[in-house]
Amino acid sequence: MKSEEKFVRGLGQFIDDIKFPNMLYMSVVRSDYARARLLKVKGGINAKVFNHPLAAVGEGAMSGFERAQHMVFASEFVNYLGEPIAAVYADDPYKSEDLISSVEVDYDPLKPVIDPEKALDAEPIHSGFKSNIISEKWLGKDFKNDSPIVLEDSFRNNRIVTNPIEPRGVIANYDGKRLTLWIGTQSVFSIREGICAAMDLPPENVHIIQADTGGAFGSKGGLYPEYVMASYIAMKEKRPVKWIETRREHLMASHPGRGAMAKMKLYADRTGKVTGLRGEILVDSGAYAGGTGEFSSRFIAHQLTGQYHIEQAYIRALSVFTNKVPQGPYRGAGRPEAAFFTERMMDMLADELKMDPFELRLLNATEQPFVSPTGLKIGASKPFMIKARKELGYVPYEATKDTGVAMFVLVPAAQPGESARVRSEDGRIKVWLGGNVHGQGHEDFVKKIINEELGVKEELVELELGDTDAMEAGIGSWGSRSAMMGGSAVTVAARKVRDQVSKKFGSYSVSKLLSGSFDVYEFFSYKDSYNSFGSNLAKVSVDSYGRIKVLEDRSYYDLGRILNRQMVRGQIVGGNLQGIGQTLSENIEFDDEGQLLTSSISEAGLLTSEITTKYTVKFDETPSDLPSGAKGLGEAPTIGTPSAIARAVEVYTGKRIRDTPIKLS
Amino acid sequence: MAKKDVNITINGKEYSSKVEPRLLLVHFIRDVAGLTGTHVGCDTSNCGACTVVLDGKAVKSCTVLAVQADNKRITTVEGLARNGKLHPVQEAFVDKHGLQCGYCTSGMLMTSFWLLQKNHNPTEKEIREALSGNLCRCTGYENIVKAVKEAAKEISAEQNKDLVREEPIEA
Amino acid sequence: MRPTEFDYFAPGTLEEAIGLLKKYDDEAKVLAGGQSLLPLLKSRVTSIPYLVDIGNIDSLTYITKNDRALLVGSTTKVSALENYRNFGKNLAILKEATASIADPLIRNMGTVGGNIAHGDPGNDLPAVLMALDGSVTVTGPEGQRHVRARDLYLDSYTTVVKSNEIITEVQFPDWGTRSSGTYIKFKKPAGDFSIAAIAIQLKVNKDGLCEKFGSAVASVGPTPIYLKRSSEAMVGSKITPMAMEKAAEEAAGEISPTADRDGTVDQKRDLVRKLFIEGTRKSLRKL
Repeated sequence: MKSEEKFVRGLGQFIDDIKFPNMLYMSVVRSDYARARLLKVKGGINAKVFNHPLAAVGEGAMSGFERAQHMVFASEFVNYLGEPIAAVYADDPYKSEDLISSVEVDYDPLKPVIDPEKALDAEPIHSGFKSNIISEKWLGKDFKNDSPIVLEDSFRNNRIVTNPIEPRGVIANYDGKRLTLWIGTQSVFSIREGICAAMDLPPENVHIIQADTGGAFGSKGGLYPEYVMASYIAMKEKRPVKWIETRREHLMASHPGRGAMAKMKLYADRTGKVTGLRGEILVDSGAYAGGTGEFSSRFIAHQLTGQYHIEQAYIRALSVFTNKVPQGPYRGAGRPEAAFFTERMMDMLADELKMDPFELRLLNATEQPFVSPTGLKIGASKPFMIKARKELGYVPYEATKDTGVAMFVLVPAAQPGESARVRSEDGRIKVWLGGNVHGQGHEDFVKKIINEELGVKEELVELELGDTDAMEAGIGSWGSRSAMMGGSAVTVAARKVRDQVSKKFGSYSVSKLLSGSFDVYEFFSYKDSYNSFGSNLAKVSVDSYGRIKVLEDRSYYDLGRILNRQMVRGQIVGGNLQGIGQTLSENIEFDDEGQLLTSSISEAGLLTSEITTKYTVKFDETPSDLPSGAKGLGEAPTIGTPSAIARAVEVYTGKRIRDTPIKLS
Repeated sequence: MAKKDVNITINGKEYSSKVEPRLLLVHFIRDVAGLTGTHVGCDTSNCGACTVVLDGKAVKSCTVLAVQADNKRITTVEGLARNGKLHPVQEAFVDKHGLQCGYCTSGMLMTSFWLLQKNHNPTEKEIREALSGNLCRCTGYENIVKAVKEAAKEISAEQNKDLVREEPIEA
Repeated sequence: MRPTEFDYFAPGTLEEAIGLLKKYDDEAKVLAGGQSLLPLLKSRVTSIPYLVDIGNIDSLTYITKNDRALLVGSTTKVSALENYRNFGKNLAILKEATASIADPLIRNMGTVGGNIAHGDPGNDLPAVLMALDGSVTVTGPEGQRHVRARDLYLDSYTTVVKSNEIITEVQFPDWGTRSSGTYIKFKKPAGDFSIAAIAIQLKVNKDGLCEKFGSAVASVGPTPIYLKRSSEAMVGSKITPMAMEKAAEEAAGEISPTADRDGTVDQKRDLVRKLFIEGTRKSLRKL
């Protein structure tokens, strides 16, 4: 049964749908404070019983610090609201939740550091550190520039929560030798790596099986403390242990994205040619090392030159600790931030020179492939922009009234490639991918590729969920990489299957393939970047109360080969709405004491079906030279939309827009 | 606390059990009846992943006690198909790519099913209003709305009252 | 998120329900549709030892009319009221207000009485009932009493209804010919809660002079607030732009908003001022 049919019949097996006899249900006791010394913890499984640092695994995760590592349980201090302190469990989820209040926790509250800018000068939240700076890196080279036009501005993209409709969850079980985890995830291999490190087990003794995964958007790729707790309890009790996140836990303690600020300084001559860019990126990393916070500031800095030929750039990339949950990837993960900061400056320059914003962008486009001072590799952007102007239906007159455009570079997480396995057995083809599907329709491109490469009817092809026992290695489904890298791995594996069939039978035919048993595992290795271009145009109206309505969001992206048009449009429109959400409503807010103000999914700003934006989606389909022919896709719609809307609102209201979500008073 | 006997008819089948009064209807459906197509997404009555049709009306089963549903009739997503054949609204969600991750889908289907029972030819505005208590993070709602329109067409075309069935509609 | 334990009763008659409330007094609470109460129980913000479910008392579910008012039994579902077909122009406000409560699924379960009894300052029907100068019937061990909506609310989640009493009927007055009103809910950017909402009902005489005027707001104070001074200011003269402006200024001063992530105190006052004018204009157009 195709996964879509399975889901409409209600037959999906999401993590909370899986049940084992004798199962225990775990609940987590969490910090009520953003920052406090723990005076007493009594009851449950807590740091005194078991503890281990969480390994940095998954998308963009880095850990350069021995100290300030996120532990499974807080011991001496808590450093963010919702930080785990203890775990309790019972044989019924209601009773398990009752047990939370049985754990005694005494706090000595401390003044938290909430604002990332203030964190720069505040007393370090971790003892033994000189400051709250977790990482600092300069990109590009210092330069002298005496251009006549120098523009400066500051911007902020507030933190937002990934909020897949399915929360996170896990089931752990231990049979005396092997630990098995069923989990909703983007990467069974990242989870295995993290669990092996935390439980001190060799990979062969840890088995990770992906459940149907109800959306992720970044939050289901890395290791979280609850997965380790469940593993520990399963090993201790020799019983299966289930943990399902509540939405409040998700809002407090799942890693949010964005949370980046920029100070930008743009140099240009009077024709509008940009001659230099200085900037400082400040990322709110949250309380501990190990998430994306450390890496995120330099990733944003890397992309700041955008689609433009800017020869001089010098960017300071800073990440700071705050008393908030560690930052993680959220769809776009640094890309929308970079586009926002750059495009807002380009619009400012256009206004300064009274130029058409599109003309200004064209003037600064490159006609040749270009590597910017921040290391961003791009192809010729000018031809793309010329096409974009037409495909987006750009009208200069409208651009002064209600319309904004944005150009961006999509930097997919191409490296180090991805794995796939293709197996012919019992007259059917089974395929596994190293990166695990969570709603993007991998099944469709897998069926199409197998059909094209091997001639097998699509209904005989099945995409299996992730399973560490099914393959040697795998990376993950994130960073706009699945069709380009996973698709390429499937393509290469299928070709090898074809060769095997030919070798065995002397020639290839579908019936020969299906009559036999063939099995190829392939890691498609890729060591370079594979960046592509995208653009958005937004039209808005603003009512007398300052309420913004996004009338239109038009997308024109360079996607390479389109493997399934309906799926691609679905991905783009869904991502567009996430971009609209970031711009209009999505937010995670704390008061000065670090208490959560956005404590429901609606308070966090998720938009409903009543948003009636008209979407127009067009794309350049020139295939990439990768085996799948695809280019990056998944994050594109979240990158250009916020910048385009911000500009549209700016021209509509005459008010400079610097932050998301936009607040017009 | 004294447990209560409840008897709930789900998709035409009776389920009787002694339950704690605090047991939420969604957990009765999932754990007592074992029908896991109805999901829990938000805990705060916002997302609608838990939507079921209770005595002819779509409600959020995470915000109803099982004891409140005693002696009532419920339709869940598993009850939409008939003799294995998908209901038009299910067909349309597949056909129009009205789902991506599939998690909000059962709630979306149940609200749409309820809407189409009381309104065979809803306008786009009516569809969007009806679905405003069901959150989707993947699709941007566009294809969901298309799917509901498609299903409405299908249902009208078939003129098959049998498809629009089961619970009577109140004012 | 799951509630703590409680005992549950589902009486079939009002008398039984009152008896149970009397017995358990402060430890008991009425459960109507549960759309406000259950989320509180699930989040464990509150725990209640005894729930008395009045959802099975059939005699509390009705919509009828007499010559002065629309009478709604308290366990009538919000969606049933929303779908009521005979509001006419006089009670058009009720159609707008009911349709703006939460979402259609919650309206299918939530009750009219519950929306009024809960005492959430953001709820929609209390402002409407106050604007209309409606009332509720409260039934308790001592029998029935009537409470004017404008006297019902004491503080957030606190009303004059005692723990052993139940709101059994809600009376929405019909203001007769040449009357109409409107409900405007200014929602947060996402979700169903309002930053401010206003209910306006007005009646003019043959000469176009304002004969009656009622306005009330939600979400801008610890309780829904009847805008007494601004409502009274409108009565007795023509509803001119100037009169509206003046009364709107008054309205902005009658509320007690708090600053939060949705706006400063001044922004909220300004919002209510604008909503008052928009609501009055809209009501006039409906006459």
